[in-house]
Amino acid sequence: MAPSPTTARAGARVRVRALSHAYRVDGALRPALADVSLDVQPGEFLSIIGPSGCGKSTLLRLVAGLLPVQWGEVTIDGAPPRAAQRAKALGIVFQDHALLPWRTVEANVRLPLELNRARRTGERVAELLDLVGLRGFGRYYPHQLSGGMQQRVALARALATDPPLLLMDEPLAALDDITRTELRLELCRITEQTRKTVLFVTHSIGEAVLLSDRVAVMTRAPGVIRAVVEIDLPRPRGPDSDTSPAFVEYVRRLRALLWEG
Amino acid sequence: MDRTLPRHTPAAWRFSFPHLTHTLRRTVATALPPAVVLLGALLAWDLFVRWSGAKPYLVPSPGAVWRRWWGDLGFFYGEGLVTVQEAIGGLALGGGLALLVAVVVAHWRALERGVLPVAIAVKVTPVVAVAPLFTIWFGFGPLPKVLIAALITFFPLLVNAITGFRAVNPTTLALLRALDASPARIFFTLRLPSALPYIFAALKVSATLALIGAMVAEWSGAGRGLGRVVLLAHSNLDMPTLFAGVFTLASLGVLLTGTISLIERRLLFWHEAFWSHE
Repeated sequence: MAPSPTTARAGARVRVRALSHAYRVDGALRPALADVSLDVQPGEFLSIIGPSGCGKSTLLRLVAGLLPVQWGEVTIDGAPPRAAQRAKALGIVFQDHALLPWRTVEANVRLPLELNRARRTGERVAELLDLVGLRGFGRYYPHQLSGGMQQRVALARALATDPPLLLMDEPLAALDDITRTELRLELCRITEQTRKTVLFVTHSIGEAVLLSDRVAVMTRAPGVIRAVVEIDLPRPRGPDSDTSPAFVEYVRRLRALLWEG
Repeated sequence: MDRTLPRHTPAAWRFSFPHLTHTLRRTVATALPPAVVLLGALLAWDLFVRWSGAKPYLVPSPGAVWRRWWGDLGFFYGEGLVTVQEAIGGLALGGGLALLVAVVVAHWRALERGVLPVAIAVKVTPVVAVAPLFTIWFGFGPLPKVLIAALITFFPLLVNAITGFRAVNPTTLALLRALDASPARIFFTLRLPSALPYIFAALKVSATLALIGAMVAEWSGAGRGLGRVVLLAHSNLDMPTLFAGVFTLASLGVLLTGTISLIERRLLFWHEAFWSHE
């Protein structure tokens, strides 16, 4: 893989160096990531796209500190992921909303604040619900909400402690097409508004182009990053962004990169 | 949401007594089938006693049992309360111990292989064999009965609680770990609530068994309790008292499980099984 121009820059928020990973399946080692190096700059939105099983979720879990690093190195603001966990500096959204069904929307959003021993969280929770468009739904239980709304709650929870880094693992993949399109634009608005650093895993090319500053293309196992494409589209982006010729050209390029191998 | 519905009564409700309150209709709907079955069984029993000429010291008539029971309700339920208290004490003791062991085992997988064989050995030991021993050791008071009921409760609660503590959503677990939540924190915010459906299922099974256990324990020596009532009636060939005692126990069993179901419904409102679709 040819290193992208930004790879070597100092002061990256997420720094991944020569990262390899293998799972033990029936006594044999099955490689999932092979020698991946990647930097995410502060305030940057970086997407990883690739077919299922290409190791993109593995990469995200390694960055989140949810898997032990076997080979290579991961740092977040210069420290290992464990330190970022302790500092509550990670906001994570998974495909599964992972809300606690016995807690109200408010109480679910409050969870990271509780773990942070924060006091007087009411105002912050209301602010977050406003941000994700769920004002007035604080007293609802997750099962009383639609899938799109549940994922909005998960996003509010991820943002609760105002972490500098957001990690998202196909957060929109379980939603229907209409909700997905709507939430994609919401996500665009919120990430532009909050200026978070985002590492975003998806298998939707359009989603990646709309949201990202850069898109890393991965190929099927063993996970290798084939190319990193800079998306030079004007911000703020919105519902009309995906009709511009430049957008369509990016989608075409990424599709070609994905299908090459 | 109601505001958008038309104001007149749906046609489908017109002949189904919509003015009866919903609760009343539901109560009737749930109480009617068992009542019919019960009445049918009583009738069959009565006819059998009348026409077969069975001796009253072998099979009493339902009327005789009813008169004995109704005429001395205070006695039966006074003794019944003793047995129920022993059963509840056993549920609390056995259940509490099982939960404690399950917490340790759920966090320390290697222990499971050590604990489960012992638990199974405890489970297969017949209560009838242990009860006299406990009476010798702990006397005629409530303690040996509580211990027997606890013995019966322990195993189902242990197995279900271990399963429950582990049956957590792996994504939520990952999320809590990424937020640096301590194991204790994870236990109280995630594992314990996730395990409640399993724990209640085991409690409901154990409640009736604990009641039977307490009664059987009373047979090997007790100052009070329904078991003693039934045993004495048995040795006096006093069939109406024996039957009335058994029915008292049955009604208390229904009451105990019903109470547990009620608490379950309150605590598990969030669980799919209790969502109301109305």
